[in-house]
Amino acid sequence: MNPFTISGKGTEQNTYDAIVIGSGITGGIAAKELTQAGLKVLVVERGRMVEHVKDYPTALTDPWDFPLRNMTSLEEQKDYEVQKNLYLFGEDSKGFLVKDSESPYVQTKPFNWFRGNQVGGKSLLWSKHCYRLSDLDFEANLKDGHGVDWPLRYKDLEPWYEHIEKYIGVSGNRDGIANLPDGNYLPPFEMNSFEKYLRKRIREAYAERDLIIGRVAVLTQDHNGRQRCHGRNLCHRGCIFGAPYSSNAGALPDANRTGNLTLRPYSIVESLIYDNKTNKLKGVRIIDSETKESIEYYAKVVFLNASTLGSTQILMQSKTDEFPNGLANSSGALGHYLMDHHSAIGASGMYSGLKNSFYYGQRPDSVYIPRFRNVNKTDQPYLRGFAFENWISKEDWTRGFYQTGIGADWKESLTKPGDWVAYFEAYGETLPEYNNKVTISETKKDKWGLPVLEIDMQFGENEKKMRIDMQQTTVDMLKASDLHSIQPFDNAVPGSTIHEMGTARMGHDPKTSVLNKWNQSHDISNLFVTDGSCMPSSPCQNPSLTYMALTARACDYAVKALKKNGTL
Amino acid sequence: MNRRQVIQSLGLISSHAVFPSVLSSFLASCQAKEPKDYTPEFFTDDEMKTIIATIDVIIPETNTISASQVGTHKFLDQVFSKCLNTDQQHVIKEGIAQLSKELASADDKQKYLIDLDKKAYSNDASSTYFKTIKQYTIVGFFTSQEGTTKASNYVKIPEAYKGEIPADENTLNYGRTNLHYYI
Repeated sequence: MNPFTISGKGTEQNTYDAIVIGSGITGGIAAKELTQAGLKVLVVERGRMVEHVKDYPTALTDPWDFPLRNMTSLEEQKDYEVQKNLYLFGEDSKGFLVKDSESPYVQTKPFNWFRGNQVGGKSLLWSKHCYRLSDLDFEANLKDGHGVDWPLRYKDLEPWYEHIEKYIGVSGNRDGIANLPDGNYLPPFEMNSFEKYLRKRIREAYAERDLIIGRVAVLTQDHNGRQRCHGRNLCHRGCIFGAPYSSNAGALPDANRTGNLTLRPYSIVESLIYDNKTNKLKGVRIIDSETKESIEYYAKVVFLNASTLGSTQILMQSKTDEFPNGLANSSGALGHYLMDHHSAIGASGMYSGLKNSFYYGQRPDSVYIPRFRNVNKTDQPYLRGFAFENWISKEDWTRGFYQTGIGADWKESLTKPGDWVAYFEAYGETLPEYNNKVTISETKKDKWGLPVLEIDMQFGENEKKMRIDMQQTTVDMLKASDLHSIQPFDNAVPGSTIHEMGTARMGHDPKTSVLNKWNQSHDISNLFVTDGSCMPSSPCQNPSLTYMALTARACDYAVKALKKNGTL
Repeated sequence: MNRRQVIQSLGLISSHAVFPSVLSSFLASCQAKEPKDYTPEFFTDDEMKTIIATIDVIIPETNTISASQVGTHKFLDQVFSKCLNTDQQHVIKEGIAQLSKELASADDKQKYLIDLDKKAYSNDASSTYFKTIKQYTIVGFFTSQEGTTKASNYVKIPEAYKGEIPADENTLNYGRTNLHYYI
């Protein structure tokens, strides 16, 4: 993939069929779908180039070759005031995370905004879990009256889930659970003996619960030119085999292969260019972060895929006389109804049995307990529900941190695996609330002169009630499985799940929503927003698969309309 | 690309038997070349002597070499210098002063450290510094080349994950590669 910069300013050479803003998990899919449909596409990305394999400098680094063994110095951490809180922050991954010192934002209330501003975005760091939503989720807003109704249902998205799963390669098992529809899967990862034990005990204790292998976009066999997983569980460093799906390993090289892609890193969007005569976008104005030049690019259609909050920020900073509160915001809903899964709650426990069984290699996958609350009827004092990601392994030498002991025997004991450890973490749905919002600052600007984002979000009463049940449910399940040393934990800061959703929601009604059922702006017909900002609710499943499916569906709609009418 | 091609594209000669060692010598990005004469940044020379004596009681030579033989004292010096804040550094400094004195006058140094370790884990505030030294000593040893490849079973490229394999009391754990610790 050879990115090249266009310095010519003539309208003609700066004109494309489509412009995609952002190259992360949805921008990549938009680029691929649109280029494969024959459109000439410009992808603008604010960060640097990250080329598959070549730009994964720590992919094969041995532990002892990190001078601080992957810790970072306090001096270095000053640049990563927020990002350093990420569970996988370290010397090995910081190259894929933004420097907070260069990309400030305002936390009106505490909010961890984890960002990966580079080609590929956070698709280099995502947890890769891929679950379909079901009509339990699509109908929830309509049924309980929180948020606006989703303008589509499972049957509308089902073929596009299929399309994306086939393309990115999702390993998983067809478990036949109604509210977690089965998809098109590569063979699942194997469970270890303790996971099988837990599955058996949980099934015995609770009729409505199941523990399944995580469905993840990590290849268990070679697929679409990428190699199968080699069992290292170091996906976050960039995988030389391309086993975990990323834009870098998948969609961008595939888009490039069509000959229709121009990828332009170092391109910070200053604003979308709105034409009030046609009520359409003409294109996009960017700042080249290397040359400081301001350059305009033009296209028939613009796909905004700059991440949930990035896309909304761009719309807000593109305000015009016609749209004084943010472009495409006649509804006033832009910036509102911000959600993130509330997680970091659950418990860990240990098991001393199954000593003669171990696993081989490291698996980039957890086991998963699908949602079981409020499924067939409302059975809880709160609305919606939660699911679990459960990480299971045997203790290693890090157990020595927490126990007394020194000397030869103790050292030798640490070279052997210890007890099994189960770490159950619940992920809960957050209701869409008007007051959970982002705005752009009227006073603070970044080094490009662009207003910084202000984030104002907190979890509400429904989430608090749900968390009591999440905690208790976890402890009960671990007790029912005869685990020892059960330790609950509870520590949620909004944003930390990195499942931020909403702020440019879809809906039927242009008066209350920003986007229609095709992720198309109600106000401006050649503008599509297909990342997490479009979500009208936040079902507890990991959301990236849904974003990708919505993106592919919107691309198909836009391409067909363009081919039929020549315009949108 | 298949695995062979990936490896070749990285400039490696693919011979399965020597694969991990070839890889480790190849890595350009993180060659932490250690200077022959290490000058401590955090410890004084006297403190360094106390640290070496202490960590070699915590992790002595057994089937594998000791903590100081893999350079854990230098690792501690680097971590304490770069990753601890002033307050934390002060606690360590004070602790080592106490440790130097008491260790020098202890008849049985090993027994003294065993008792100190027990105190540190019974939430005795005056000995929490020892817990910190011990925790980073564990990291320093087990993430060293010796700790990863000899005190652990290091499989750099496992080829494919398997859910269940047999184990017995002699089975070593895997060399830890996912280096995120919670100390």
